[in-house]
Amino acid sequence: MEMAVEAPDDLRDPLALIRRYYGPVLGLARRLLGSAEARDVAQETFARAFARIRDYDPSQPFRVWLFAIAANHVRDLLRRKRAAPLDPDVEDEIPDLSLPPLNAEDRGALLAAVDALSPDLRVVVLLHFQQDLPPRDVAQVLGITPNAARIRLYRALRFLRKELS
Amino acid sequence: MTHPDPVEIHDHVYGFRVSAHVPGCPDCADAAERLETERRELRDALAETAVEPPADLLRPRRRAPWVNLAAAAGLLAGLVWLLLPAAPPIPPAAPRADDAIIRLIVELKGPSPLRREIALLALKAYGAQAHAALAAAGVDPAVSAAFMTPSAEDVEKEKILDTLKADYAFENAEASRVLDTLVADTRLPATISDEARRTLADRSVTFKVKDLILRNSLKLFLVQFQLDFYVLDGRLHVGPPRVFMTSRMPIRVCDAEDPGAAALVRELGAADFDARGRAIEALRLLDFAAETALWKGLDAPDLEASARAADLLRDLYDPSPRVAAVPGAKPVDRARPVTVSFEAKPLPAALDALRETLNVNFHIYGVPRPNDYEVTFACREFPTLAALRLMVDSIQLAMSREDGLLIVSSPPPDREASPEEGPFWADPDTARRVNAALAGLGSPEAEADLISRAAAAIGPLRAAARRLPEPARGRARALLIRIYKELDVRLADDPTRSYLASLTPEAIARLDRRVDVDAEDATLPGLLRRFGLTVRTDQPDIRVFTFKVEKVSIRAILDALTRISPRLDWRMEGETVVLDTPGNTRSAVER
Repeated sequence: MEMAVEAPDDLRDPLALIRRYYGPVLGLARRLLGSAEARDVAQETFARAFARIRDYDPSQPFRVWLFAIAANHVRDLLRRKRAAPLDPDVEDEIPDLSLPPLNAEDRGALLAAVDALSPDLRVVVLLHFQQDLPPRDVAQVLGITPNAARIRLYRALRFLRKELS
Repeated sequence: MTHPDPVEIHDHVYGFRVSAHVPGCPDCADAAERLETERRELRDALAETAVEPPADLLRPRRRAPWVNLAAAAGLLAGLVWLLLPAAPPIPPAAPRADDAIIRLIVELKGPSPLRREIALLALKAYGAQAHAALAAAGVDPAVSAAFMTPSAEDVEKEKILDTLKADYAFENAEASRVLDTLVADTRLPATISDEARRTLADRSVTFKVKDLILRNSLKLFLVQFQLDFYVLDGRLHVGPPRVFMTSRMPIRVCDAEDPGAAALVRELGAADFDARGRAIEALRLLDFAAETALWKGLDAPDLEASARAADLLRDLYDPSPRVAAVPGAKPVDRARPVTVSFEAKPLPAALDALRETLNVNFHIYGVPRPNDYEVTFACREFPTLAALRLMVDSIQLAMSREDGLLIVSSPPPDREASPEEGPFWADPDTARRVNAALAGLGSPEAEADLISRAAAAIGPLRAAARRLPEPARGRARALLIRIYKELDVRLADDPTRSYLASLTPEAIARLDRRVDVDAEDATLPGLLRRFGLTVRTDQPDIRVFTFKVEKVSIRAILDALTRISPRLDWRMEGETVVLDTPGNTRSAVER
């Protein structure tokens, strides 16, 4: 499996942390909430992170902790908007995965299909494919079990394949 | 050969479970490769181009907008922690109170006098909980000192003054010398303010006490000069009396910024007077849902618009209680007997007649065409409040009381007539719980918590019932009704309403039945039996009533006729109505 090798984060250099993670957090927020709110979310995420830096457990990757803050903030915003169910009952069953893999050549269609996912599925897709987080870290960011992350990932894949077939 | 199902191949590719079969099987390896390709394409398609963080996130701006301030504030807090690890920790504050306080401190340290003034006002509203953050951020010590409150250690130290006794016998002595003696006897490090020194300068006093604890000696001596003392930060301070700040938090009816707030703030600069007025009123109603937009409004190029935004923010950060006295309210003499006879009398006329008879103020609220409601009700020497309850129930309206004002409204009883409006501030614990409950409207736990904090929750709930979308709005209304019922009991020292716990759906259906009553010296048990109910009571003092009313609910009769002297309460035991004292009823229901 491909493993990204990253330089360790220097917590004593907040500006370097912002430079490194601003783009990823913004990208995540943009796909979850739209461009208008993404910038505010990104900035608020860093504000919250630095205000609560003492809560950070250095044994965990910093970006997982940061994405968890961003995801929580997005979840709060969605809840306040009452825009969509946030934590729908996760199906216990693995969805049917017999559809052939999708063809992602048409990026516009793929992005439209991703945007059509419910927020709880979309965030899994973004964390895994866009942010390159392994499923275990996706589960940690979202505060769910690895199996729940797995089921959501497969549900999202099935949806995308159907949309793009 | 049996191939694994697609799930196993997916699990293998995504690393959930390594399959021994897949790598060795050409077909499955091919399927896995196609999934890898899909995965790679998804990754490429979703990859974001590198984005540089905005400069204002890396460098504080002169006039950063609200969200940027949050980031700058976060950086400030982070840097304070990183650079000054030994600094006193910021105490855990209520959710988001810490963020808000840090934002305000950044404003307080900014260049704009207007923003600084409003930030200080807001910080004072948050009160004592802002002290640690103010001190850590290095603001003017004179400012942060105003937020300081005695710690537990200070309280303990001050108790020393209760254990020391001394005799003093000063005659025509210099006041300053007397004070110095008293202060020295406390054995605490002390600061005597310049104002206290000036007040005592050149004054002579005779001060004689015997066997008095030091606290009382100090009080006795200082009070004649309008001075006081307190222990703060380990030191005894003598100076003008000081009222310490308490901690508060706003209760946010709608946590998210209202999407229309920015447009309304722009309207503050409208040329049209009415448009400006409408914008001001709308923003006032939004209270904290317009906070961010109002701060941004301070930067408006139009000075008048900026000034109006500032005024609205000043109102927002005014934590004084929002419950104003109802004009013209008079106490209701609930037991005063009344004799009336109304035959199809329009509601306003009926209430006017009672107003003159009883000298009570009424207000009809939220009833579109009051004259369409015709009252047919007659009674002789009947308790006032009971008469009103039956009368109003018979025309299927609701009645509630507020500081002596009787409000007749469409059911559910609506207290919109009260001048309660936001913003709502409360102690941090209450605010935190009410905020959480408002955010979680609909869950039984949240609603039970709101009911238990009725006094603090009513205002925000009323606002929620107006502003939030369905179904939260409907839940807020339903909760309000329940709270009013509870409060009605508490405020009026009425029966316990323990019966609420004893009601089954069948009992409710039976009691909500509407009946016509023509009673002549009837007892309550007799009336209830007349309508097919079984009644049990051991109470000897059952009064008799003479009244005539149509289409009144049996429950209204029970409510009205038990809430008079001698007070009774009622509960249901199966199909039997039990009339008993409030204490017995409560005990029975709890059992």
